[in-house]
Amino acid sequence: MNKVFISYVRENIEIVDRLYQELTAHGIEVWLDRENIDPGSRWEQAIRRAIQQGAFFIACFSEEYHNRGQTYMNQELTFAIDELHQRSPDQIWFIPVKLNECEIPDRDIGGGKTLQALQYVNLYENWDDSIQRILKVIQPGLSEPVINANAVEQSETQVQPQEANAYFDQGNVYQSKGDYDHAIEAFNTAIELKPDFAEAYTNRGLAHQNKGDFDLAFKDHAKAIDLNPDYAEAYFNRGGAHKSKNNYVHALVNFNTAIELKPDFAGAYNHRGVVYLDRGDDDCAIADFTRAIDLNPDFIAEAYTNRGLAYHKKGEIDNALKDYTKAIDLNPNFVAEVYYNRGSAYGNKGDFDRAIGDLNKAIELKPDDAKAYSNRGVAYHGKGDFDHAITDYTKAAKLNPDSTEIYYNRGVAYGAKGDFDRAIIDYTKAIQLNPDSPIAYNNRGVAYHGKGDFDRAITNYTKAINLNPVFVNAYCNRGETWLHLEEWDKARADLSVARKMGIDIVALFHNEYKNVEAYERANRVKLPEDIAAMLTQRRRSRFPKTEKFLSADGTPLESPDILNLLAKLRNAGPPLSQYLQTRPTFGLKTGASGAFVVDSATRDQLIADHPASADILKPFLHGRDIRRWGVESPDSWLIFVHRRIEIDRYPAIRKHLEQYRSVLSKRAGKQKWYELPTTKKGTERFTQTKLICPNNYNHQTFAVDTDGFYCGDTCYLIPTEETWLCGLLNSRAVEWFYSQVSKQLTGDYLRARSRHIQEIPIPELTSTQKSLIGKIVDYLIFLQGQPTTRSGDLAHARDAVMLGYFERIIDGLAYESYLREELHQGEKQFFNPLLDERLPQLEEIRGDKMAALQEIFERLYERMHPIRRNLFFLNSVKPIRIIEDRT
Amino acid sequence: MRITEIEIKNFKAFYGTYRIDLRKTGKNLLVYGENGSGKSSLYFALKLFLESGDNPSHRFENDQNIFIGDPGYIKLCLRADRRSNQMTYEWSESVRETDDELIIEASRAKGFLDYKDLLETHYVHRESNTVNVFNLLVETLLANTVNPRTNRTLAQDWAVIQPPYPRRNATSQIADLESWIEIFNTELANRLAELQPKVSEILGKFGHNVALNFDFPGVKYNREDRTLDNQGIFLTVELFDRNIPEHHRFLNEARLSAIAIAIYFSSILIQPEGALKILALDDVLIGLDMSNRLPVLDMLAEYFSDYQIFLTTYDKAWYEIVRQRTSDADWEYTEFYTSESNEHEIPIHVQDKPYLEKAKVYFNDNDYKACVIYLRTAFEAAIKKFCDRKNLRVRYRENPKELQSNDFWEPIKKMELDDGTPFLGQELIDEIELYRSIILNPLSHARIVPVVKKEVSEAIEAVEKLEDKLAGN
Repeated sequence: MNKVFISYVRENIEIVDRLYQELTAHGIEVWLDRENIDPGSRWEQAIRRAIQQGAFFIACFSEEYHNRGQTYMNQELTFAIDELHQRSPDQIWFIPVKLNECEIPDRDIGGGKTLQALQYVNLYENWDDSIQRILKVIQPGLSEPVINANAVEQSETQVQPQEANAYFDQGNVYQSKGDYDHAIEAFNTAIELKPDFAEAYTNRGLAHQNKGDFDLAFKDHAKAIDLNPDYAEAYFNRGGAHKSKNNYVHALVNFNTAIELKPDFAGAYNHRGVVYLDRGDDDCAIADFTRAIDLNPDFIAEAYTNRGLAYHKKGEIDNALKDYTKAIDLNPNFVAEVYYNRGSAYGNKGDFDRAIGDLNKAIELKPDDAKAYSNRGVAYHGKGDFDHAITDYTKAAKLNPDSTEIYYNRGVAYGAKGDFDRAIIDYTKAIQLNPDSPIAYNNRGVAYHGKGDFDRAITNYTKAINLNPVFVNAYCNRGETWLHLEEWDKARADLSVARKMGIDIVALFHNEYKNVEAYERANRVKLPEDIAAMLTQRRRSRFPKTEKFLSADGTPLESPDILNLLAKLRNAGPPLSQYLQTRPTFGLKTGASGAFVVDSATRDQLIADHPASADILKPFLHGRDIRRWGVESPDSWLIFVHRRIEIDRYPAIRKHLEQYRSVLSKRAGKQKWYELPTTKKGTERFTQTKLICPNNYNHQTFAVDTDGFYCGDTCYLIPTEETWLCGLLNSRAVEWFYSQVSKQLTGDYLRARSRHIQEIPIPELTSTQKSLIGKIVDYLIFLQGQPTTRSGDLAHARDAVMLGYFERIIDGLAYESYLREELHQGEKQFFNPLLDERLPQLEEIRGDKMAALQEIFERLYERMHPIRRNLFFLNSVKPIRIIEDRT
Repeated sequence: MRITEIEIKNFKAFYGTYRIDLRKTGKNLLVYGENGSGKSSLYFALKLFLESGDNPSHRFENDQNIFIGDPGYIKLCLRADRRSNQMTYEWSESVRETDDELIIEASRAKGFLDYKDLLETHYVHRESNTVNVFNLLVETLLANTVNPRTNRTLAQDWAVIQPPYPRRNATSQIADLESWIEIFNTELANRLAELQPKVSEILGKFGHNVALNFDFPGVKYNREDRTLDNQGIFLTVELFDRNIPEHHRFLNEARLSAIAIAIYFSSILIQPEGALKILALDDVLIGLDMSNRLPVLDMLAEYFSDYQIFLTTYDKAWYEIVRQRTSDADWEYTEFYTSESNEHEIPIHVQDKPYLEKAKVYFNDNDYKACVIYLRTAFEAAIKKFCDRKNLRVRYRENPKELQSNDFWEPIKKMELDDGTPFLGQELIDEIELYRSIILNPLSHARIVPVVKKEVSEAIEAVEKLEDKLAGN
């Protein structure tokens, strides 16, 4: 008996009745009315039987359900959960439904899961769609082929295509339910009734394939193709069988034929893409998945996942993330792999919190996946949470005891905690599994060094160097250990190799020991003078002592040129936070920008409703409104209801916020429902002059804000009057430095993350030099706001070129600030020739500022002007060539 | 700053070591060369040498003479002026001294154009009655000019906006692409505006009293079709204040070549100059008729007087004309000949008259193939020079390139003394005739003739005698 059991509370009877009507209208039998059961007739058993025999169980959760102390529904849920244990987890039986906004109770359903893990339906958001979703689940399970028994008997003598089709359909239903034996039986009958039934052959082949009987599958597909040589699906299925057997070439041939026969065969593109992906042909794979997605098939989520994977393999992480997210949005309960993939992609980008979120989900869906644990460990590791990282690595190692990488990473985590013994055990294990890993030897060396076992440390470093003779860090580390062993010659040799190969040994040494004197005191030793000299006179800097985790193959070394140049830029001056004696901050997190941020129409209305509203409506910026140099005037206002505001003074505002009350009350934090999570004092950072940039950006995008914009948390704020810094921060030197640093800190992907901005070194300049940069920054802010510089209208091409040229001048000045020696060696100067020009301050220019700037530009752009020449030949300065490398 | 000496070993067509001395003042160089003689190899040697500093991915080995096991090199000697010290820069498989400010800057500001670059002019105007020079400008003539904003060449800016294009819904990538397109457009539009007056001025020197305009609407990304549309720069020409409706008639190939050269020269003249200024034109002028070639010489003198110029041509007549019209004080002249040994072509360069000496050197090295080539060259040079000097009537050929050594040899052979006996003496004539048939005949290298040492040594003697005889008169 196929019935759907609906469990509910009395208070919801109206809406449940509606659901009942919908389902019965679609021919579904529903068990609903428990009130009809005779109270004396052993209610419990009747209900239990009805639930057990029901084809589906729908549980209607609601606010009302939660407010009830006692209800039959709880009892029904208990029965249903018992029943759920008995049923196959692959098939949906228990359907939670939310009738209004509420929580699903976290009742245990076994396997470490609760009811919350089940896919639920939100009836209150979009009724029709939700009903469709329920029907989609319920209907195929209920449908049974309508077969005329008499017709089957007649089939002995006469071809009965209609009956054959009915069996064929039945076979498909069984197939979709995973019941392959019955499916095969049904297809057998269909083929008996209609011996040239190509579709039935190939679908039977599919069923065999699903059962693992490939020989039978190939036979059936071949037969289908024999019967109908133009039958694309049969080639497609045969391709799939070859793919399962890893016969990639055969698979490709079949998919190609399928596509040739049916050029819009989305499934074939998708599967061929997978074959390409397995063969390492990422670009072809991406093209095929894109084709599959464009053709808009049912399995679009799968195609997005696959393409995400292909992008991921190619290292195009942002594209990969987009595709994974799309796949998850399309089907939130898709598969653990998508969450795993997306989590790993976030990890690669350095977004560890998101990575952990996704990997949690992946582990929840698939609790025995070593990779997911390992990557979650890496994400915790990246966050500096070594304990959680170790727990995860341990779990991963248990599930997959043969992975070098896991032991290696756990070793790094133990090392970071100072637990060298355990670290050594792990590295040893990693080395056993992969005896050619220089990086594991190096790290074991570091651990031995940490324990004070210098001899073993030396042995390990030496082994690492033998395996990879250009492994700079190993030289550096070995040099350091030789110091402790007082083997001065050897130390000198190793340290100079490291220095020559671009390692900033001074910075490293100072990081570790503060300075030479401190080292000498602590170790009661006197360093030879030349070694002491090698290790002094430089500023603090940070370089990783052990290699970065994630890559256990010993490859991630930057070229010495790049490391050298980074060190040079760092040594030009103190980091930004130190220079400004303040830390940059994020803008305001409202928790509900829909409520607090309004457009000017709404703002005007609020003021019209009550004039006091004007006092707390502030001009507001999102990160996306920020351009280089200036901001795009946005049409946004922030309702600045700080904490402890007297809300009753602003009745119009209160009324406005009232609409969002339920959303607003749910925000985290201690503020009242109508308040922002900030005090009134916090406003100064908005109203004073500041530099701002978007939270995430691909190119340096700093702007000067003197208008006191309030900013959302997609903005990053640097409060300072020194607007010349905007020029420095937008320069290509800083863009390069920053991309390198964020690459080092957050993985190999270039998208800059503003929280590292404070590390940008600010070179030492005279006040005249700073004010010169400031002057040109002012020009740029002005030019950026002029329509002709950005219109794209080629009649004004020269204005656009002018804007670009002034930006280039800023680049030149920044280079001269950071790389004075290198530029002056080639007689390239920017400050002096520009100072000779005695450029006016923007506000000193009377009359037409644009015309005045055009005149200045023409002068500086003249063919043989030193500024023009020096910019033209900048590429002859080696470090600048590195920075402006065209790749 | 000038190049005073070029030394090339085992590079492209150069087999062995070749030295070109440009004297302490770093003279300009005019090269005559047969096809395959290494004339273009010299052009590329200079070009690649200069570019190697900024382009480490181009390795010397890529162009090393493929027949040689012995590693080669290119060395340039430079002097700021005749009194200052000579600096030598080497580029080879193992040494890369071109990674130097001076060389990199020279490369950035250099002008290098070869005849292949102008082939495009043969195609552009056939499309319709508008002349679209977009490809010619973007991919050739302006390709290496530098965008001050990006510090990249126009070719690199152009490469950035080539397919594959982002998918239709990849809005941020499309926005990125469109901002690069805008940079490309504004820069190109601005460059064309800067070029326009200079080009018209230079065309005036060609005797074309025309004003040239570039109509560049800007390329545009078509989001729907994912294509780059509007790839057009349309030439409009005003001649004697009359607009010419059908440009393609006025703009025949020769005129278009002249315009192309004018654009190229202008593009160099609107950019900054470095310390070392090189302009090299490889066979570029052959696309022009004679009436347009001579103005180019004047232009070089007027606009590029402080550049060091390298001109090559395979047109012997033109070579002679340029020789006559230029001064020995500023120019060196050299000739490249080719020969085919058993294995490969050997270019030979002849500067002044060292060829008989060279032939002897190779003879002593037992390299008879190379020796014979020099010997033949020595022979040809001697007889040509003599004809020239004595104003002997040389057989007229419509195309001077087809002049053969026989055309010069015959009149000399027939020259008689007052007494009716041969000027050269019958004995010498017989000797030369003998060796001409087996060694000195330029056609002989087309088939493989075994060269016997004794014969070669006797041929050297014969040519030496001939040189003496001719020089003495």
